[in-house]
Amino acid sequence: MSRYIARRLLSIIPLLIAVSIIVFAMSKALPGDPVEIFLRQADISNPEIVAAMKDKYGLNDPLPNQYWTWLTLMFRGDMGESILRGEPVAELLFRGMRNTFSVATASVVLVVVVGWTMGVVAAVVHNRGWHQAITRFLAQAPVLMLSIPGFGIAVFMVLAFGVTLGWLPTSGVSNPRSGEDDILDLAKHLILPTIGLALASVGGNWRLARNTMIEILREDYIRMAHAKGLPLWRVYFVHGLRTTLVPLLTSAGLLFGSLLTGSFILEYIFAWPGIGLMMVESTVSRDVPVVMGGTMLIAIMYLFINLVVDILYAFVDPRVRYA
Amino acid sequence: MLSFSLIPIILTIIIAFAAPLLPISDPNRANLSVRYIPPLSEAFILGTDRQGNEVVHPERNPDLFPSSVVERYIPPVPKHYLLGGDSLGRDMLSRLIWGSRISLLIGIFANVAVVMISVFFGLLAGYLGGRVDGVIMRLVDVGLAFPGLLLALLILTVLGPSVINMAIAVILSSVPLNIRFFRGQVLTVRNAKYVEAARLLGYNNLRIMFREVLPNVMPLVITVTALNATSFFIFTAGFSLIGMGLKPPDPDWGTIMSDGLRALYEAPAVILGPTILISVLAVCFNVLGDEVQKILSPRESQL
Repeated sequence: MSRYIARRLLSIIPLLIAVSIIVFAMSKALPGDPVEIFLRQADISNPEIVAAMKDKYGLNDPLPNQYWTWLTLMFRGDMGESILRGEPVAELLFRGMRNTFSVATASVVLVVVVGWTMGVVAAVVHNRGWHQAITRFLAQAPVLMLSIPGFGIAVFMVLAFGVTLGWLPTSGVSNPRSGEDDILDLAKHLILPTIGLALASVGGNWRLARNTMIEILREDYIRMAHAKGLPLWRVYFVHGLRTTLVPLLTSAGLLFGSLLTGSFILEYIFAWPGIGLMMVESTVSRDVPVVMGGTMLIAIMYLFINLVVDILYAFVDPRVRYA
Repeated sequence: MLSFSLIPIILTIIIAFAAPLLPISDPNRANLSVRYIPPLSEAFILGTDRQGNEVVHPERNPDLFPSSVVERYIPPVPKHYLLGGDSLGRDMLSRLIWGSRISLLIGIFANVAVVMISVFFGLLAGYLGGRVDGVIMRLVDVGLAFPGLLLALLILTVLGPSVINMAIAVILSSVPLNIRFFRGQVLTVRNAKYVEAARLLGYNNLRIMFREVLPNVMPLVITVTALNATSFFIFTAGFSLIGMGLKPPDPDWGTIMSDGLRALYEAPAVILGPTILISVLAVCFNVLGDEVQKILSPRESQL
């Protein structure tokens, strides 16, 4: 097992290097010289001062040296300052991450509670041969949920619950009148973004849970459990469910990983100040330090979460380790 | 189900192509007096101004405008705003129709490009294997290290916002996943008996790749194309929405949405129009993909 973990850990190092090179190359490919832009704001265009400044910040060094300086600084947590907001990039990203984390967690909870439950119910209903209409509905509903784009749902919900009914807030994380720590207020603000973000995955997990469990309920050991005369609930929810959970856990893990990277469009619609909205605003205004730092952070997180999911999967299902 | 999903798609394409022939007003003509006019309402053309543009007002009374604004008065002619007006009083119906042209164009163009690039490299990697496979798949891994639209965002930061750049960004960020998918499919075919037979007959690799392997992964190519269409609509609309795509005043569904997002309370109809269109088309393309898959590979879709 430790060998598998080591191998997987090693495999992401070249990826991280490649990602960092791409991000660094991007910053160099941008039009405009940072020093000249900076000095122009102070009305200085003296070429000697520009040259001295470039020298001071190492911009005349060979590219590999510059790359190395940037990389080491970044891993020490120094990603520079945002041009747009004048705050340290690390602080900005941390704040964005926190907001994205809350909505991502809420989404995964929703997926597990609704998606898995409905999937298991659908499989049991299919297995018991209930009325055709119910079985069909439980099979088709997730497909519809999967197909409607998240921001479509988001807009419909904003118009229905925010604009028309006025029940829920439609933007931001908190009401300015209530304090930062008002949990109830945060929960209210979370509802719509969570549903918008999670609905497609609820459908996906519902379908996955249903299909997996239907397959599993056809296995011999389930027939054996029935033959032993075990009560139905035991067969379904102990014997059947336990095996069903393996692919579901993987899917939830991967979902969490991709949600943590922030959804650009949904965070924009809900004005949710997460990492996605921050990346969008920085991209539109070409706030390069934030784009660079944010891209690195998101890529690193994404790779590591996928790694953890892989390792957990290998832990649950030993066949993977030896593949 | 197949025809149910095809009707809206074909209808949209026909209307988009026919836009110049339809009796709709100029999508970029602003008329501030009908700003955010609700759907199904009526305004009146009261005359023309000095530039020859129509002067429109919700009231029938021509005295509302002094002669400095209206050059030539005419008896008021009713003008219908079927889907209302946007923040500048432009006709939403006409903007949605003209907008569909750009949204469809990028969707189709990006889709074709992605499929062609991915199939080519997927074939190379899957069929040739070895070092070619190694190089291509390492590059794919790097591309996949950027989740979702992050790579597209990065590309747009460098290139700056425009329609072409948006297409490039969407294409480049979708290609890695598709290459990996097609390579996997090629791998399942490459050792089939008929491929071996073709090799024994002495056909060269190019011929085997494109005449033997490709036709056998073609059903999947078609399915994936239909399924990809959804995400391309959403990506392009999304990028225009956040301001990285088309520049105003030209309409596409994303820019109309971003206009509507600023007027959720005054004129919810503005954002509702493109959202409904995109959602319906997305569902249709998904259903279409599923149905095509059922027709082309009946064995895999029995559950």
